[in-house]
Amino acid sequence: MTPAGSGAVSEAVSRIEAELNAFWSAANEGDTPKARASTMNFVVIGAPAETDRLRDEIETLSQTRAGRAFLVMIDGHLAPWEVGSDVSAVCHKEGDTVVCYDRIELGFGAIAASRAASVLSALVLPEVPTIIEVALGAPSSLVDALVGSTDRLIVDTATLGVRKVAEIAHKTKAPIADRAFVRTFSWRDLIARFFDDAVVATKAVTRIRITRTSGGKHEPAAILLGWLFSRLGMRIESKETVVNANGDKVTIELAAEEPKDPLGPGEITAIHLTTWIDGVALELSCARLAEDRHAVCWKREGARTSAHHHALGFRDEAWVLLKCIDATEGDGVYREAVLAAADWSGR
Amino acid sequence: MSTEQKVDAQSSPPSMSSIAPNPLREGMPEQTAPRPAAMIIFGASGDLTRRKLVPAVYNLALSRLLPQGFALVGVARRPKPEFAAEMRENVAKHSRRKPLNDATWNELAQGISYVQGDHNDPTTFTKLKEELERLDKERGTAGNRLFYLSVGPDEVAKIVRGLKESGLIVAPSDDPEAPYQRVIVEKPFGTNLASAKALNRDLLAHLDESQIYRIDHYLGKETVQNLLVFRFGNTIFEPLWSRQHIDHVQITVAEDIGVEGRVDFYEKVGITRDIVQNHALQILTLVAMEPPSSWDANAVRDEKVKVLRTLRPIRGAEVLSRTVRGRYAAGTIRGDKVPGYLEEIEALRAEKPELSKDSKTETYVGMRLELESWRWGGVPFYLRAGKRLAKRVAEVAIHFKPLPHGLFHNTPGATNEPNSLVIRIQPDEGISLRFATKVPGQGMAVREVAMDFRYGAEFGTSTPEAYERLILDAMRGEATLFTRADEVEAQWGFIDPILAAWSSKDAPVANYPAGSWGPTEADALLVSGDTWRKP
Repeated sequence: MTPAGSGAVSEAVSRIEAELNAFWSAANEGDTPKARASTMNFVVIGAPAETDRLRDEIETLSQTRAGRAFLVMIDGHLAPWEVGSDVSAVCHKEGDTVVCYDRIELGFGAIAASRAASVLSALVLPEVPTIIEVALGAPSSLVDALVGSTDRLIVDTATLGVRKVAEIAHKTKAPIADRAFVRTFSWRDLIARFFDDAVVATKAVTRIRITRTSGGKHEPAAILLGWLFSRLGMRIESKETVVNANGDKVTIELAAEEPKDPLGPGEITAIHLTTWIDGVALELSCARLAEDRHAVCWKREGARTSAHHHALGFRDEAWVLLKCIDATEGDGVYREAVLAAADWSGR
Repeated sequence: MSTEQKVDAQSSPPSMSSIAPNPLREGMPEQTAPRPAAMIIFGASGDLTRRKLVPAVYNLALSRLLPQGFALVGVARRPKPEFAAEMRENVAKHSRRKPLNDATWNELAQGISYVQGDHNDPTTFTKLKEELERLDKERGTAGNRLFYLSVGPDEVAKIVRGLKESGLIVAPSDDPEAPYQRVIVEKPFGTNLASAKALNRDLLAHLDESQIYRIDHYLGKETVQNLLVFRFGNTIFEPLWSRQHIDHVQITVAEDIGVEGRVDFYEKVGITRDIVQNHALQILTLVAMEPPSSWDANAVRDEKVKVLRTLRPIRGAEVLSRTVRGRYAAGTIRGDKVPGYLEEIEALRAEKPELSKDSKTETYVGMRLELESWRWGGVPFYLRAGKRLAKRVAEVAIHFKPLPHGLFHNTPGATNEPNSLVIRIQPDEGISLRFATKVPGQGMAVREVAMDFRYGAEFGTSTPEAYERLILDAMRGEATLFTRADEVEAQWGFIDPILAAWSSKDAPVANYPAGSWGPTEADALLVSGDTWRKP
């Protein structure tokens, strides 16, 4: 790195600091002071093509989890050692007080990207946690540079894949939340429900069959399988075979169906499990209804018999993101799930 | 949530409280989720059901916090063949989250039903039992019932007796798998100590204390709960939280509205019974309590009761020197002229001749409270509650001791005002700490500034309604935010002698203009040097 390059980056940081200072200082004696809303630093690493969508996401998030937001990208128009920036703020009045939160967009030249962590550490609010989201198209150079600077990392295995996320997981001890994993919540809840009154059957699963629509960028069943393997104490032997906690072979089957409105590619449509209680088979299935693809038939046959229809429910991506930020109770479970999923995926 | 009928139901109900934990539940919020249950609202045609309860249930559904198979049954005298449709309109109007989400409502509506009947008629309970058994079979509610008694205090004991006699409530079991029956009771919990004891006796004749959830919606407010987090979730405040550092505490529960056409109701209660006996004393206990050993319901409530027991009683002649009751006169609020309380009575007397023009009902009360404990000995707790005050605000203000030595006494701008910490409960929920700072420049000038935390700014304004939290807690069996029998009796034990002295001594009722901060007579309650805050 040349001295000139170093200077360019630090000048950019100074420029941003000056803009922030100017904004947060009262211009005149007697001006209404601004109050800063700061629950966190939220950093999104993305691609220029996604800028508008990511700005909207930040704006939506700020309405319920205000803080300093960063949008970080590689900017191919910049010289390699340059850092481009744009600082803005959103303010509203609450009684006599003006409450504001600020956002900083950072574009890095290819070489300057390696300094992203240093730039970020100079600009984050020090007293609140830093949450980094790796968005669609996030360049590896920035992800690698910033992954060590986070208190919580948000990923999406639907776009990154479980193996990439497992790689990231090995590089950071920070808790990781996965949008794709959050989206599977209803499925996981319904699968867990099979065993609420039959816990002994969790050790005796001998068959897992997942049906999904074809065409997803990455295997949509992987994270669900990783979760099942890790929670049920299963050992992976091959992509088709794992061994359950009782030492019995578990058959893994994946089936595909064509995406058809309202389901897009890569969506789970059915899960079937076979397990045993006292030598009696228990068939468990949870499958989308033909007449209502947002609802499932949840059914147990054999050692237990019952059936319900359940709505899967719908939550938009703003809700998914909030859960990724706030729902920390499953952090340990997720890490084990994604590592198991990557292990299975790599077989 | 189940949206269609169960096809077959031979199995035992699902339970989150299995002794062997389900490994697939690990890391899910549902580790503590309620079991499938039916919530039964008595008084289903009432205002509370329309405006608060059903919207709260809907918001829980929207947040996916209701158990699968949840069912809601309304019970009231009037026929309501379109109960679910009527509730839909109310939710659309009163929910904090708009517009109404059709998918969520349709899911919820699958489990909504209505039983028409008078709770004095035993057949009502027979019909209700049949309905609940149907829900057990079809929605898997498995005998778990949460009864919400949104009815007048005279009706509570009758309903509980009917539920017990019809077998809808059974004694709680030690078996964590056993179905539960819980009863939420709305305030008022009596009108004095004797009636509160009678109510508790009636309830406890049919229910175990662990099945009774006395609801004070103030405790469901985020900022009220945050009092405990603020005190016991931080290290820096608790060491200051005693007579060593705190000069006095002011608790204010002020409303800018009047009695709003409810004069006859208010004539029976007055603000002391309406606000002070419950909400204000609840806040006091949370401010003054010792750290509980855990977040367990009894651990927290034990500490709250201890505070009530350390309140120095106000009796006899002392009532006149340590309390002031007042009544609003005509005045101006937010630019509008408003009538006084007596004028409101006068306007209604033709229609309701039982209303007395010599009313002594208080619409304001100020008190100087003392806690007889090592932590709080000598620290006055000023409490005031009133209607038609200058603005709507509920807050706790902790005033710290003044500086021991005025280093900056003669410095320009120095006010010698001690530090204060204000916990705003409503509106504009948040916490503000006032302290002195140097004005930048060559000289030495001091200015008071405030460090301000605002819930709305940090977390958005759509925080859950108190009823959402409390209904969910009751389903989960979490009683921490509900009032226990001994707590209610301790509250009345403190209030009763004050009410008695006001009636027996014909104590004066001070007038205050609507839009002010109460009668000037309340200033006499303050220890020399203290002043009432103007929030």
